[in-house]
Amino acid sequence: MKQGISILQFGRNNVLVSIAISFIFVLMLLAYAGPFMMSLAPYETSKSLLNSPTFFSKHSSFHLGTDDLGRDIQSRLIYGARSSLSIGLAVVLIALSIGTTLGLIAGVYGGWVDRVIVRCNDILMSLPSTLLAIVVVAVMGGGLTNAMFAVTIVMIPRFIRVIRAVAKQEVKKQYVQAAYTFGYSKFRIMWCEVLPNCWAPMIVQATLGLSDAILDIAALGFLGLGAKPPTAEWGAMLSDARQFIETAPYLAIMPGLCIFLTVLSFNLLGDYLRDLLDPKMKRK
Amino acid sequence: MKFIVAKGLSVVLTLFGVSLLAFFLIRLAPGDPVLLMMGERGADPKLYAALQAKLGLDGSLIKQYFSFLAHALQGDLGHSIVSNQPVTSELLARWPATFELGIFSVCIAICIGIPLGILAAINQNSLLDRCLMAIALGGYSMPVFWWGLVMILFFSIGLDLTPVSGRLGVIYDIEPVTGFMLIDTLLPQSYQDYGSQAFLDALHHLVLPAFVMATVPLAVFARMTRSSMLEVLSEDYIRTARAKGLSEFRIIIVHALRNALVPVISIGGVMFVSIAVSGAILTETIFGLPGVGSYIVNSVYARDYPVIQGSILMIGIFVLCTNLFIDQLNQWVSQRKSE
Repeated sequence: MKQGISILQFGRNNVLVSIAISFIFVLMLLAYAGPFMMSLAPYETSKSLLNSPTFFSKHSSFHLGTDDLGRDIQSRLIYGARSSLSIGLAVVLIALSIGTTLGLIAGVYGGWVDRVIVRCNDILMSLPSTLLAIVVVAVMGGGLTNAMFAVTIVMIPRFIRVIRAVAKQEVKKQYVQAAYTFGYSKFRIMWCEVLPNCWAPMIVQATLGLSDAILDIAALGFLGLGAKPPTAEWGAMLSDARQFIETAPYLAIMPGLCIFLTVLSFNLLGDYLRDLLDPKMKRK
Repeated sequence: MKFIVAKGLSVVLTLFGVSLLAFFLIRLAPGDPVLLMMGERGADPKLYAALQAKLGLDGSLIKQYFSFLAHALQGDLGHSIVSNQPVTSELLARWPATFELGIFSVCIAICIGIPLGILAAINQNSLLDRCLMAIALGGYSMPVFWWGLVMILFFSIGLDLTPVSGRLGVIYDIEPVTGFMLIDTLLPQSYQDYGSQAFLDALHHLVLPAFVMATVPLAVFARMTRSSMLEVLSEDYIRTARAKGLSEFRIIIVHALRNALVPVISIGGVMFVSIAVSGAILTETIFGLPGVGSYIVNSVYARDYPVIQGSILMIGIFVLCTNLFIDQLNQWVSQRKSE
């Protein structure tokens, strides 16, 4: 009972955040449980080409219409959500673990190790993320796996930068000094003392990173450098829809709207978590 | 002065790293570029060796790198595989289109974003503030490639207000002198032929892409101005100014804004450059503008490695120089503040 009231209160105080969380929840439910709950056929072609969604024309039997090959848009969008969320999560988890490790090493060890890591980070950060991702895909070839790899590489520097900054501050604190006097090794201090105090920025950056990862993967898909044709992926769907933009605008609007709402929801959640967890913001 | 030297050294070191990255990243690509150029049927070993030497692909990797660096320092980035033109001149020919688009969208982002941020900060926690910030977050989350399509759908196809793509209508024949369409159409010769019509047409073509490209930076500027402004408005000297009985307008524009803009310039400026390059790549692709961004994308499709390599180096230099300039600007602003 008490739980119920606090959730209600939370909802009243943070309307947008609650909507964002609900949206993410529904999207995850559809993406992962959808294929078991309803019959979805993202790759099956039918005779009704470029059918409008049901709320435009009553004759259509497809809720959200069909594309130029007669494939059901609804199924494709749901499968697209599945690939976007899975890839986004995978990218962020890999980038976060590599970024956190390097950031902690730079922050705790200091000295020339720190300088080398910061310099390499500066080099990667001096290239705009989309450009770097495109170039990595150009070198490795297209496809979803390579696009994922490219976005992971692009995502690592920001985690290094944030975690290093936090670690640098933590290292100065007394509990770390105390750990040194106990004779703990730097390796142990790094993982057992400093890391547990980095979780707040890690969560914030991971949430915000998730939205960027989804956006970047979709952008690569749109440029034809990500998912290969029959794959149901939002960015690739959008790029297919471009040539029918005058005859079937709904084809272009819906995948983009999915990308936009997903990215917006994760950004809203990330902003909220930052306000909640970042002590600098809390003081204000 | 000391600051500039130290900063400059750091930039040179980073640039060296970017050149390493540009060189070795491309070498990771599968396939032999020489064979790629000679066709699939296999090549005569003599011709092969000659072409290899011509492309600077003979000898050890380290030797190749230093020859690449030496040539790059003289402004020679090699030849495009597709067009066989020097990469430098191809990039320079496309630079003005991107620059024009970029400048125009910076202006839009600053002229709309900063006032919106101020407006939100003044009315903190009001309905207006919440709405503005929700819209700003929406703009920040916007997939540029979709936004461009929606804008084309609405303004070009639906309302028929702006052209769908390109830089200028086909009826105008403008000799590229500076490469900046807005300037070229106003040069005496073109002006004689078409009057102000060509200029207006060029402007007409530029508005929509510039607005699309400005969307994300605009949101960034609005959000940053708001938080920076709130920080400044809570400081003591603003209270003093209020106590002195200065008008609210004067307090905000003269006293608060000047200090609030310092972090907006430094962080926002650096962010802007990165966002703008990413935005340019997508915007130019959607609107079919012949700029650096669409050039890079086409080179990626064609696997034109010398062009990709040259573009990385050139954009790296551009980003680093802009960041240095912004640092300098900031140094100057905060120095004036402390005087």
